[in-house]
Amino acid sequence: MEVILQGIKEGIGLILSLDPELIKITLLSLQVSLSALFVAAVLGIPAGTLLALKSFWGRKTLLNLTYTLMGLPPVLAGLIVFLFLSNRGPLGEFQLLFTPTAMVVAQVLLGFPLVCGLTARAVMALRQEVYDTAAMLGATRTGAILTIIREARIGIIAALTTALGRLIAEVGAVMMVGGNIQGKTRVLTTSIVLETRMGNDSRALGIGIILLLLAFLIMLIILKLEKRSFKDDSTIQII
Amino acid sequence: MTALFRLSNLSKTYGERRVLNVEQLEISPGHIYAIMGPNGSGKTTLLRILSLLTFNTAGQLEVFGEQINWSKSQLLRLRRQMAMVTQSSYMFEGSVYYNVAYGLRARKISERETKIRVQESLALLGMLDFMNHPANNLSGGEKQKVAIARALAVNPRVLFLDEPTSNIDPTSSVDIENYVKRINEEHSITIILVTHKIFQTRKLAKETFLMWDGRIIEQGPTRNLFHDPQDTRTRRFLKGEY
Amino acid sequence: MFKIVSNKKLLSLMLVFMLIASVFAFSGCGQQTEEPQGQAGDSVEAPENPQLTLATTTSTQDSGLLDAILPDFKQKTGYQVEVIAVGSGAAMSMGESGDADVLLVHSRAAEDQFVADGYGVDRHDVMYNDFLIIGPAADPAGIKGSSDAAAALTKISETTSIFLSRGDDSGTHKKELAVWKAAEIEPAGDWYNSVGQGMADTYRMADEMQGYTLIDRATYLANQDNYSLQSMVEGDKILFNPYGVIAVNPEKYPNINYAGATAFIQWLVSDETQALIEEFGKDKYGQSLFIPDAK
Repeated sequence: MEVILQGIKEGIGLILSLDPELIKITLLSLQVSLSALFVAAVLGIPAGTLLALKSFWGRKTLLNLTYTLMGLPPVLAGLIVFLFLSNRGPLGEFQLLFTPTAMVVAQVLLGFPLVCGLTARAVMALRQEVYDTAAMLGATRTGAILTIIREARIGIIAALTTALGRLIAEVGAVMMVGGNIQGKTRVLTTSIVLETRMGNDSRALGIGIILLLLAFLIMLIILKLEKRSFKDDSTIQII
Repeated sequence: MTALFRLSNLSKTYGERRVLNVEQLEISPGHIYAIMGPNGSGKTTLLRILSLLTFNTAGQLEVFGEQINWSKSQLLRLRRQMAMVTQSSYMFEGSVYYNVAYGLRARKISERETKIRVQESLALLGMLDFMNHPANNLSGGEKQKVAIARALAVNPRVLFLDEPTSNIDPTSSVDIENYVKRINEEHSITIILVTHKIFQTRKLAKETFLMWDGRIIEQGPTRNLFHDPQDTRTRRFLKGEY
Repeated sequence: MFKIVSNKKLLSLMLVFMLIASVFAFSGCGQQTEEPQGQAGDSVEAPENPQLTLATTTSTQDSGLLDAILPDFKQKTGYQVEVIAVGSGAAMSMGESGDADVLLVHSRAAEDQFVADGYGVDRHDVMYNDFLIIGPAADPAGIKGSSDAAAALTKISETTSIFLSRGDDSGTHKKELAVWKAAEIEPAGDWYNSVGQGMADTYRMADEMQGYTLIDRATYLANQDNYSLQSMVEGDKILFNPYGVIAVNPEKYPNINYAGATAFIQWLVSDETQALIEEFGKDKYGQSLFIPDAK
């Protein structure tokens, strides 16, 4: 209990002191995960929409594959990227290992199936009438598809939030391909591992609290963007 | 006067089931037409084919004098001359204004003109006060009125209505029936109405088609159909036995 | 005739299975370093509290020494040792908070402080090994074959050759810092990478990055077949790495297994075990990885 209270105190202290190293680590965490999310979104939203709307040979298999990869263990994603980028691997010449770029790549591997799969589900949850209404009002095919994406936006935003949460909080991939190098590839999660290993439990907890606050902040911003009222969060009345 | 729609030997089959089989059908512009029949008689299917939302399996379909080849450009061009309101019309996420403006924006009409036409349509349906409300917060009746305004704003030649008042309160129903009549009379928009309500048909439709098991078994001026039905099945339908 | 299991039955079967599995998971299993039961020698009566938590360093764990000799301890005394491998700093921290019963670390100054502060008792020397500086075959800093560690680090700094530091307050890290201090250099710059990881991971990264690093002989020998880095500097007195075993002070916490810790220490410094330590690695590497020096 002592450790936990101490950790909360330490965390607040760390934030207030604006420790430069901590700021650097936090910024890197955000940089890496937001970049990865951006790429995952740019690739995943169209991919998910395509999977949801277009019927083609192998669609069912691809969908199932996407759902499976949604649960890809971060450390495995890290390992795969590591093997590719390692000196012994096919892409070794680019010397990308232990750089933030490698971390982004690994996180894209994690985030893409998530965004793609959840977008597909969000679009599939819409009924035929969405397209019919748009088409009957004279929208072009592209216009109607964009409208479908727009109508599914709540689900898509949920997909992005979920993905970001997962990326910012994971440690397996970034540790593997980043190497936790101070000043270069050290992020919040790998810092927690290090501090714990060094025996600084309360400092580790403090950093963890910062991580939580970050996640909370991101969630707030995204919900603000959503702009809809919170009537979705109301309960079903059981009378 | 060219027929708006001309069907010959038109059928729609789902797997083994043939749900629609129309040998001959011609719809001329100007009036309100009603399509009635028991559930599963193919009314909605016919409507969806006429509005080019669903392919026919076989037969000829001619819309506004054109043979339908289902090409993207043709569909776009023809659909932009039609509009549809369904039983519980889907409202896009956003304000009433956004919904009513949707079709106009799709046609790349200027924001200025869009605003005018949106306000006109909403005013016609008595929904102008709701212009900035979130569309999905409205009641069923209000949503249907917005749906009609939305369809009206794009100035269609034909307006399809698929049981537009089945799900809403009687007062709004009557309102909508009156609006429909006005739209037809004042704006010369042809109306094709699928409905369950006999009173509605008698009130609004000049000509009625009765469907049964995918076929049109009787058609003609509404008064005649109700007064003196030729087909026994029509008689049964009117009595409510089916 | 097979009866097809209904969905409900399948579900309850799965739930029961998960329940049983979780019961097993929680039934006191931890990190074990001894082989399965059924060995000749289970004749010793189990001690009152057979569970002993040993906190040690990653280098010690990674060398494989514990895996090799701990079974002997279990056989002789019946104690089940749970090994937690972290940095020296964390190991001692665990001792301070009573999360371990006995420590095996290599950080003399910190060890003495630990005892002085009253957290530990019965400190004994156990063995020593040494560190070496390893690096890429290309040797950009030109230090291969030297036996002056401080001078070598100076050269690395001057040539800004890639160097990896454990950076985790471990015994290895502290030794590295001691050598920098001897060279009167404060390492900083893009070439100096503080990775904050265990020895084996740091070794792996150094190989990837083709950089220099300080490594203990045991981890080096145990893993060198996988990597291309070579020994650059060894033999310097400053690279000496003595290990100490300390029992956590039972007066600080009520459930410290002091009896077990004592048994462990006695076993560790006994002649037989010291001989085992000396033997370790000889057959595989042709040399001892650890030199026993219990007095």
